[in-house]
Amino acid sequence: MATPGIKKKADLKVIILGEYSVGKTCFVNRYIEGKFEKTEATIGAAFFLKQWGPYNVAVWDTAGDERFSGLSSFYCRNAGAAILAFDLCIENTFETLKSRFVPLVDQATEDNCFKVIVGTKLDLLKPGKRKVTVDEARKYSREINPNVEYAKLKHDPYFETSSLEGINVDEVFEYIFGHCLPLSDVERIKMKNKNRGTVDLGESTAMTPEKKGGCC
Amino acid sequence: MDESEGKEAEQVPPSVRNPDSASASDQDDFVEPAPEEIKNAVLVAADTFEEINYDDLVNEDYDSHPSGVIHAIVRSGSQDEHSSSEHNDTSTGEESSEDHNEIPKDLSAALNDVVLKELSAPVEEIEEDEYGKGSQWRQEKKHIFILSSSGKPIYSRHGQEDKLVTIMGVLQALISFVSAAKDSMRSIVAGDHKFVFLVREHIYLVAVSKGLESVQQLVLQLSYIYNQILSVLTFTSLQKIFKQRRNYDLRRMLSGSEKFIDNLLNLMDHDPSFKLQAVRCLPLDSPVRESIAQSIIQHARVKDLVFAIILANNQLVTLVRMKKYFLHPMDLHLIINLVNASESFKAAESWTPICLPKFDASGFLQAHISYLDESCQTCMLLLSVDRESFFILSECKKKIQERLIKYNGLQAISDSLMKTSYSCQQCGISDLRHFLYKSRSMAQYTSPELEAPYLSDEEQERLFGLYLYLHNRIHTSVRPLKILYHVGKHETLLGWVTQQFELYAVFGPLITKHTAIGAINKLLRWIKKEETRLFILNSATF
Repeated sequence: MATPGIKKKADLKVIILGEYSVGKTCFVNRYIEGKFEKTEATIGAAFFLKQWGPYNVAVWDTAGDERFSGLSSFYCRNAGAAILAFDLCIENTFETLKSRFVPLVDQATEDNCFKVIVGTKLDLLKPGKRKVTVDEARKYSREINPNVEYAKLKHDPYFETSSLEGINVDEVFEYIFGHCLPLSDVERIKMKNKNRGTVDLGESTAMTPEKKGGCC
Repeated sequence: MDESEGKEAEQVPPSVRNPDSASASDQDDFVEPAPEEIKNAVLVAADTFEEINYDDLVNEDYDSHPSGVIHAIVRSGSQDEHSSSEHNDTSTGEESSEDHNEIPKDLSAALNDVVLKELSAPVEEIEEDEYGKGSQWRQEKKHIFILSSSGKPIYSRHGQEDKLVTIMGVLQALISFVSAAKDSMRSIVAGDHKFVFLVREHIYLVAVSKGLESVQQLVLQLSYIYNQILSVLTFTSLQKIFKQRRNYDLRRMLSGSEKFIDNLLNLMDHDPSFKLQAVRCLPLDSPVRESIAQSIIQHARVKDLVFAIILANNQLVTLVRMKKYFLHPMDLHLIINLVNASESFKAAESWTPICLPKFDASGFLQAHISYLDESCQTCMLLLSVDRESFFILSECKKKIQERLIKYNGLQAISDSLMKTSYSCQQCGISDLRHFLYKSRSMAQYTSPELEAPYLSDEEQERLFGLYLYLHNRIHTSVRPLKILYHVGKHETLLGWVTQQFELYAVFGPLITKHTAIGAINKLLRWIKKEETRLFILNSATF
């Protein structure tokens, strides 16, 4: 069921793109529902609304099948951030990001979109089976965001994730929001407490919201 | 085109009955009700099986008229900027130049030879893994093969289609051999198996079945599958793809949609609505249904919204349509299949293109799909020609949902789903075991729950087979019947077709013809009484 009762227009639109069956829906589900579920192939595109502090974030989960590429101009338009997902175990899925999805986003958003490369299924990656090196992916993630000031970011827009084990999923979204929707310290703390559903007395109010070093 | 067909059919003067010999003496007892005027149908008064007309179905051009309806709506909305379809040359009516003569005897024998060699070859000749499934594959009751006109495999119901290249090749050779002689391949009967062919412009569809379906019924199934493919691609893009590359591997474009074909085939194997060309409505008291429709009309007054549909458990709850446009039951079946085959709509509001081939084969409608209740039983689809209207429709959905909760509409739907339709006993007719009643002008049908003795899967399949038989005997193009009374080993069947309805009833084996006729008349009165609950009599429009 969709989140009810939110009428305001979304402050940020995040889209997730990538080849068929790389795990986009599982990734979004892990973030929205906080759990891993087997999912069916997405038909067209699915829409989620999520609160981030005072902001509304619209998340579009899209189908990777080529036959739905006609829809892309609709969901890419005005997207503030794009999560470009590929399967760490399948090299081809990284190549299609380059050949198909990145150009698609650039065309539809006129280069104003923050693009984050996300390798999925880290839990399935066996030692020695790696097809795309971390350096290669990081380098590429820099290349496709020429207008971003990297000094302000903690690291390159590249993550390796596992939706099954919940590794780096929330981090991807927080990284994006941190860049696109910076929160004031007060808001950050408010939100943290709200997310836990409790008022956190133990921690000092001047906490440093340092997160673990992303992927690498 | 379909509308006019429907109207023509209604104007046909009541013809003299052509009773089966068995019922000839009793025909006076059948009181045929006068055909009613239906002014405000929900669906296109469907082609009944014979009106679909076998010759039309096998005609290559039958399904391929891009009618440009979507274009018209977009134009009339004076907002041409996002036209969702490309305009296409309209093809010129139906061609009857092709000669559909039966294949000469000797040729047919020769063909049988070829196919039998290929498909009935001894097991050891064919490697186990060649079809992915080995000899099990051979035992399947119904095979469906889809190939491109250049012989490339597109789909196989069983096994992996890319392992079936040889069979696809043989099928392609058969079809082109016959068409080279300015003839067309329709069907081959070889032993227990029927081979049925449907040749479309770029796609060949073949059914190989040892089930009970008649050739006509199989052709109808194939044409459903063809429409399913169109609903994913549109006819326009199908044509474009093959114009650019004749030997294109269409599986690439269909990736992810095989499950819709699988699901459609499974539905057709046990759901009578497909062969009846009719839709089943969820039984609801008419004021309740009316109020549900009103909720939609009030909150979804959006330009470019063509159809709003609520479905529950494959049954139609309500349908609101743009005044000028109708939905064809075949299109509605594809929508039902889409919802039925996919769990993914349960997770979130979805936005997806869908082509409804009978409505407009040349372009996509955009569907906003969402479930209205927590338990994901009631699904609403809002079909628009505007690709950008997701958020507007999403707002509509919220308002409709609120109203349906407030006025207990959703509750009424879930109550009706819980109650399991109705029992045959409620009709108050002893010895009546089951029936299908289709209102022809409304393109809707009703049937009671399956009860003893039809509880096991085998028995249900047998019952379905009886209906197939009855339906086929009545609608066979060689000799269509009005009434058929058939005494079988385990039950007695009675089929009756009038201008107004089609009725297929199953009685216990010991019933007499006289009681059966009395029972049927009583049943018709009962249905008339319950009509407002079982059917959608008045269609709601925006």
